[in-house]
Amino acid sequence: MTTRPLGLASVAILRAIHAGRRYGVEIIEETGLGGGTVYKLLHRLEKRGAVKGTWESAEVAERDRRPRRRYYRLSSAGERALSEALQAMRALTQGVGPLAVGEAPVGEER
Amino acid sequence: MDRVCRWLLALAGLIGGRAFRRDRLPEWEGELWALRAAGARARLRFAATGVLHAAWLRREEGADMGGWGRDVSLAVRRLGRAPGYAAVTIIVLGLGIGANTALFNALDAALRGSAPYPDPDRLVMVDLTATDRGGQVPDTLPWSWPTFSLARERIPSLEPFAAYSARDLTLTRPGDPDRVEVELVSAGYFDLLGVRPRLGRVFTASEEPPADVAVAVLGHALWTSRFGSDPNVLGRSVTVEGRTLEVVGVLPPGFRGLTGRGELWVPIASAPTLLNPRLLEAASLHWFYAIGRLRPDVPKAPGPAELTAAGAAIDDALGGGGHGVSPVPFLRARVNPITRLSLVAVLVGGLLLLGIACANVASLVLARASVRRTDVAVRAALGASRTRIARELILESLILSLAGGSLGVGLAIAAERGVARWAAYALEMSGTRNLQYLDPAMMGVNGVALAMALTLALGTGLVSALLPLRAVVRPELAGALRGGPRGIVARTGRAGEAGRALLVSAQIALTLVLVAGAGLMAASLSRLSAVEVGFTRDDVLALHFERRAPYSDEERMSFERELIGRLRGLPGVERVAIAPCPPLEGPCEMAALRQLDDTPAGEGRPTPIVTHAVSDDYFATVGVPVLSGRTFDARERSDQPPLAVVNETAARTLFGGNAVGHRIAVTHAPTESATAEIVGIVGDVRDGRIEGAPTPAVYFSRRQTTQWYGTLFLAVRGDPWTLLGAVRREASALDPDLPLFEVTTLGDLRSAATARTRVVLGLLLAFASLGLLLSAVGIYGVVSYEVLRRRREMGLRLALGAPASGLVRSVVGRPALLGGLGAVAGVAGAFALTGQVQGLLFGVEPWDPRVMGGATMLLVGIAVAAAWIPARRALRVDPVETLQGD
Repeated sequence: MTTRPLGLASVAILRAIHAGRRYGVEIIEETGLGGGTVYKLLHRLEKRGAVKGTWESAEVAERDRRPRRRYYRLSSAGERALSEALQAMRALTQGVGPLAVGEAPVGEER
Repeated sequence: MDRVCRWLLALAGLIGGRAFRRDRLPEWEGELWALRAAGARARLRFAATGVLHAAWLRREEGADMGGWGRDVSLAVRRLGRAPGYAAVTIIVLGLGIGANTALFNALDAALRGSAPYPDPDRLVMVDLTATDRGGQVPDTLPWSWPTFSLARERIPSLEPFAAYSARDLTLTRPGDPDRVEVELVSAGYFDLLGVRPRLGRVFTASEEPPADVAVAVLGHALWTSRFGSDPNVLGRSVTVEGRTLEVVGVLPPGFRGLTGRGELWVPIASAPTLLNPRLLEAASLHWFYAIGRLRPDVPKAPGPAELTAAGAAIDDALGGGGHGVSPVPFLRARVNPITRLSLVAVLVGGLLLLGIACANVASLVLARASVRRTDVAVRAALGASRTRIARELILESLILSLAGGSLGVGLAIAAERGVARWAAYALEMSGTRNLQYLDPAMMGVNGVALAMALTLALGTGLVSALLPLRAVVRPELAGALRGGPRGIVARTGRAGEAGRALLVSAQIALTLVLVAGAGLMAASLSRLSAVEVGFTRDDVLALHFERRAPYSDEERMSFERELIGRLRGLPGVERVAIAPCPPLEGPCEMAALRQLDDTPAGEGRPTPIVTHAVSDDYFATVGVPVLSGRTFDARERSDQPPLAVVNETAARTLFGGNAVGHRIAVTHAPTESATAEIVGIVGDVRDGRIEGAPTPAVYFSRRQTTQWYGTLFLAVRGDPWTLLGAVRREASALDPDLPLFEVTTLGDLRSAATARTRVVLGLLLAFASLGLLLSAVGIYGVVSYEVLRRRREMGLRLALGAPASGLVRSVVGRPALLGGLGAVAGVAGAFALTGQVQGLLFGVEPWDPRVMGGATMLLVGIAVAAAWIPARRALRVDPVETLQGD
């Protein structure tokens, strides 16, 4: 498995999932990224084991009268990768002052 | 909108492959649902993203998949690097495929004569024939009610056997007054066509004549527009021609009757009250057509004994006339041969263009293959399999042709309405007997047409890839590698070269056929335009009117005189006249000569003659020259013996020129009994098709005969259409219920008479121009390739002192030979094909030497020009530069 460093957009997606956004459209809204980018990166993140997609149970979808959703959650490797990436970013921006992205590089917790 | 989204996702599934459909597509569907509140545009964009994602995923996976997916993506990328080549090819194919797709349904209908009724091959049109009328013996007539009843009793093998006729009538209630197309039918009509009412019932046997019933069945469109699809419409009423009819049924959507125009149906028994009181009693009033369905136990047609018996019974009832009954298969009767021929001609033109396009793509593929030869050779040397290399080429060509096909389908759909409008304008939509033949609404692009477009695209792709394939996959390895980059052009497989040259010949041959076809249509049009239609004024407004019972002849005459007087007072109007029908629309009153002076005319074989009852100023109004004697004026009285004016053809054929002073009598004319004295001769006016020869015609004064219908002619200064409103106002001031319809101008009639020829010509001309362009490009390509290939050799020869002209000749020689071969094949093909469309031509033979010669010259000229431009480069070859190149 490749261990290329995560791109900014990938980090944003991991962070969005970490913050509780669970499926594609929610992640798109949260990150402000394009649909194409989000799905492309989700696919890659899943392949490298950082994200795990699971289908919601059929009963829930049936009850809400809608198609089943695929929910994404972070694997332990994903959690690790996210915190590493955030740490690296903090290190990068240390001392830059007001320009720094600081504690929350992308997407404020709501 | 959501349907589009679903389609897009289905497309994504198609692109993404099975795994994508299984694992990913449900996710996209779920997401789309989550976006349900986000607006149509957002959803559409999301769905489109799905398609792109599927394609991306496919490529992503393809990297470790090998095989087709990767080849496709490689082929697309390769084409993307040569966008000009790809664009030209796609556009050319798109035009060819588009033309064929757009017209496919029209042609389908034309060739198969299909009909939207169950077992249409069991339907039979039944004609009444008679030998006592003019024209070719026996003549086909519509039926009158007494003759139809006699025949129906005697032909039991047709069950049901029904009558139908169509009239444009005035509907005044509910809603605004308007003209609606009313079919008058007898009881079995709907049964026979297998149509069941959606609501209520259709007509019963108790509503046959002589019963006088006031009922009507609504067409679906009328039910929707006039009654708001009221489910309780039964028992409500409609008012037609001032008569109140009870609605007893509603027909299913889509049914427009045999005429294809019906909006409302009434029993034929209402004809006397709606149209003319004598319509059902008079055996000599022939006004409707008949159709029957073969009883299940009757194999193919009614037996001759039944038909003879029916004919004899009609003769008995009418006191002779040589009547007969003749059955014609319904599907054959629907066909209009000229329309079919026009469509075939256009379609063949489209196919020829597609053939040219196909040859062009093949030679482009071949050229590219030659360029890629080193690359292919290297890969072959490194162990790439031949199938793999072949697959790439085929894929490239297939992708191009599918893209061209999509463009073509897009064009066809975009042009759908235009095509229908064009067809309705230029082609006759009816066959004989008032039967609908082509329905413009059916000319859309449907599944069958799409399947055909796909087949054409795939076929084109495969053919154009397979033609050059052999030359490419057997590269002379050593040669290709040794030559290095220059080797690309230094030596190609002989097969490839010959193939390309042959393709160019084929293009020239196909183009020549197209150019010759267009040339013949152009020659026809110029002859047609030169035909003297007989009237000189175009700025004449013509309006049809009908004024039925209960007016007496005297009332009608004074009404018409007053109408003419009022209209003449309108500003801009120069002259006003009334005649039965406008010219060029078909002779509306046919009769036969009965007597010439004191001798009975045409014993055994009467001469047909067209009769017109015209008002005083008619000839001056439409611009018909008076050749001799006088025309009608206010001196004519209805109580005096009738006077007649004949046309030039009648004067010549009946009296050898000077007809004035002679007397004639005609049968089936308004002045049935009397002998009329000829007082004048006027020029010939074409009554019927412009292609036909002028026929004998006789004119009577409207002061001495009357008709309950007629056409108003207003000769005006300026644009006739600006007067229409004023004319309608004046007419309704005189009679508020007077319908004025079928408004046109003589100029429009004149141009409509050549519409078919012009439209077929226009399309063939467009195809031929494209074909010429493609051929020129092909020739240009072959010659420039030859120049490029022999650069070094020519540089050497120039350096050694060879004359430049000889070099040019040697470059152009072979293409010229091929062009010549193509031209010969093209002339042969043109002879073979144009002979088939003789019916579309006018005044020109299919093998007209000037047209054929002209087409050949044009093509040779263009070929020479296309060869000359690159050939000149041979002269500019700099020997030093080429020799240094090594």
